[in-house]
Amino acid sequence: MSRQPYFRALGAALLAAAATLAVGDVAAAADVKRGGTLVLARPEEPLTFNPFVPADNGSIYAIEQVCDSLTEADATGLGLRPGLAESWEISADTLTYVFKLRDAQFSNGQPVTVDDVVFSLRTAGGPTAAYAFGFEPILAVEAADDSHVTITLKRPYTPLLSVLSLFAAAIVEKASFEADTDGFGQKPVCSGPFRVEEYARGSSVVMVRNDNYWDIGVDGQPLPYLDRIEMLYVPESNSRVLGLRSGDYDVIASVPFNQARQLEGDSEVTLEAQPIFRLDYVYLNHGKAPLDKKEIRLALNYAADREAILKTVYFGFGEIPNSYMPKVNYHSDTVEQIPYDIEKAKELVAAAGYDGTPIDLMLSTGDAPGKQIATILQQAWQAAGLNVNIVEFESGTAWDMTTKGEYQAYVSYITSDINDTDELAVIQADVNSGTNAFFTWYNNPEVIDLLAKARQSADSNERAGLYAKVQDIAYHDGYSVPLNFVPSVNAYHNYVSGWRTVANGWWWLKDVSVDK
Amino acid sequence: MTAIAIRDELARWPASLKIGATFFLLIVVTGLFAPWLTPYDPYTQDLAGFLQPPSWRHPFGTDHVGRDVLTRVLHGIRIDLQIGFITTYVPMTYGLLLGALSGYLGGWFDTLMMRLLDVAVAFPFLVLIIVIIAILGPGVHTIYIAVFLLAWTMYARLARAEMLVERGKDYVLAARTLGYPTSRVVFRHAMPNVINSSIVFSMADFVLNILLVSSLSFLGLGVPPPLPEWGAMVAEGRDFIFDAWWISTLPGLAIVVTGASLSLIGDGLAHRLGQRQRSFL
Repeated sequence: MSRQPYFRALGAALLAAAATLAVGDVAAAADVKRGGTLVLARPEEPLTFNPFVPADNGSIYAIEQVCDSLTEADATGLGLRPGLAESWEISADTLTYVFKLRDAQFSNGQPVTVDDVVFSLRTAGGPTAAYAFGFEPILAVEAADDSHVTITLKRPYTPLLSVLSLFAAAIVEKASFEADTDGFGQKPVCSGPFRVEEYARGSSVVMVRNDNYWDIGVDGQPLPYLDRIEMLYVPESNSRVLGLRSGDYDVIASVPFNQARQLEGDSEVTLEAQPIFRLDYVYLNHGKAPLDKKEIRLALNYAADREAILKTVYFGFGEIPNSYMPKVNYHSDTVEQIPYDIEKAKELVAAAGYDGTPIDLMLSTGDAPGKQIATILQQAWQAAGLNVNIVEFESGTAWDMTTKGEYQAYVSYITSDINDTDELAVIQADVNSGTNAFFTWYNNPEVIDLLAKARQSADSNERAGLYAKVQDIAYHDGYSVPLNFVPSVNAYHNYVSGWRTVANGWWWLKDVSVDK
Repeated sequence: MTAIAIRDELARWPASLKIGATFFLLIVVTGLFAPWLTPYDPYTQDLAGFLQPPSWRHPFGTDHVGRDVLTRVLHGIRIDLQIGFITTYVPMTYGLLLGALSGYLGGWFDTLMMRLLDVAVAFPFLVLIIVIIAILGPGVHTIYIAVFLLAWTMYARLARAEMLVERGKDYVLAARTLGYPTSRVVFRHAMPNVINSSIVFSMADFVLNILLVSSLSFLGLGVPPPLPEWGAMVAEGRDFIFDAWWISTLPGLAIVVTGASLSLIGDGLAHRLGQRQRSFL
């Protein structure tokens, strides 16, 4: 074996690689088409652009396009990248974080100052903010100098960097926000890639390019590529599909599962089925009889034929869950799944001494897959010996009843906004988190204890172990009736490039370009 | 009524009445015998055999959870006709009564009734029903209550208007001169002539009420699943309209056929009752 040819080969390979890289760069620069309008049809609409108020995906996904935070989810959503903070340093005791701000400007041309950052993060952790629970371990947010912000913690809090990537940790322009908070919800002043030009509740949001945005595209010019986005509110799923096919929409979010396979065969459009941090499940209110009994909750789980639901409702999209929460970073595959076993369900119902108290299975009006699921579950649960009624309420009312605990079971879902298990594990399983264990009133002191430990641990192996334990306990306590890890199914015309759903559920429209 | 009288009466029926009545009779009979007409149960799901297109085994196909659509449409006859009947003829009964009395008596009673009626019709019908359902929660009983509160107004108006005409006629005056009590004059003498327009209207109303319940079910405010109500079935199948047209279309067709037969009956009745009225004069 001679070494010379080897080296020569390596050299050649390196040269070739370099050439490809160079060509790749040139090609990329030529490839990205700038300008144009993207028409995006969604089944949800933003309710406000004030980042400290909402908890609905309609608002969150829109805010992500308009507002920046210190850190942000990367292109996949699984990792983090610097946002408005160029870099940061963490003290040895992990109690102090120092962030160096980037030289950036808001959409109105004003510079992003440390004052704005301090104000925004304090508001995000303030008493009226919807996501204040995530900022609870923060002791103080202070300006160190003109370009550095210091965050000190009450106790070690490993998820902090992920939490700072939340839409709720968006940096707003203090002056505009304070001058007119209501107006800010309509026309926010942030430093994101787009700014809101027109916001018509119930129909559409028009966003235009923010010329002051700091990030650079692959062609070396400032992002975003698009000049304009029309984000349309089209709740009727058939209309979205028809609109895509007729060319009225460039992209549609949430393709109905039954039509996804057909769209796959369409040569003009691309179907995207991207796993995201989402779990479809039936919320159970542990505070209401007969769901206060663990046996009954488990019976509901054993009687649910998830295979059949995956096939008939989701048309094969998704994965049968073994967890009470979505598949976020510390998800454990080893937790044993509750199988479909109607006999076991009957035994559990008998063991619980079920007295015939009916279970009202609630769903939101217009939620077609939800209705299908409810119909299937009703029959299955009745077969297990339970009395089940299906009740429908308009989604706002249904949500209101859920938050007040005036429900028994609700067919719905949850998504995670960050790439760290902490957010949902705490929201869903810790009854003291502010949402009463996400409106289940699930109260298991052991779980609460484990979650507190996991929050403080910086050792990812230890955290993984703790979260796996929580997952095992909560899931087998019959926390809920998990149905499916549902992917995000979207479709776009082939002239759209750079579209990608990040694991948190939204899309970085700054990376999208159209060439039609 | 003798056989000859029946034959004579039938001979006078316009074609529309005959066709409509035949269809409607068929529908009613089918509804009565629904459980024996198909081998399936309207509620039993066969998840393995979902979204099957129409075939000999399932002439109307199967729906999104594998139930036989034909079976559900046939059982739906019972639900829709029952709801249609109750929501039409219960309000008609007291609507007629109140309207006729109001027209005959006049005075403060009339004023009171008409103001009450103005209030009831001042709001858009569907909106008011949705408000009542929002307060009381969805379900068949809520629909009954809502309709009972509102639907009598049309009958009361019709009856009052007819009564205002009838009360000045000779036969009513004659009855009054003979000293008959008010109830007898109103209900025995005048009512048969007052009721005609309401009967004709009730046929149209019957159709409208079935459509109302179907619309409410379509909006998720009507009959709760898994009851095989036609409107609810149309709504459930809507999302599958491109790949499984039969789930929505065939129950929709059932609504159309029932509606058409009732409209034909209404048309024919208007014709026939008009004839009779003329022949009395």
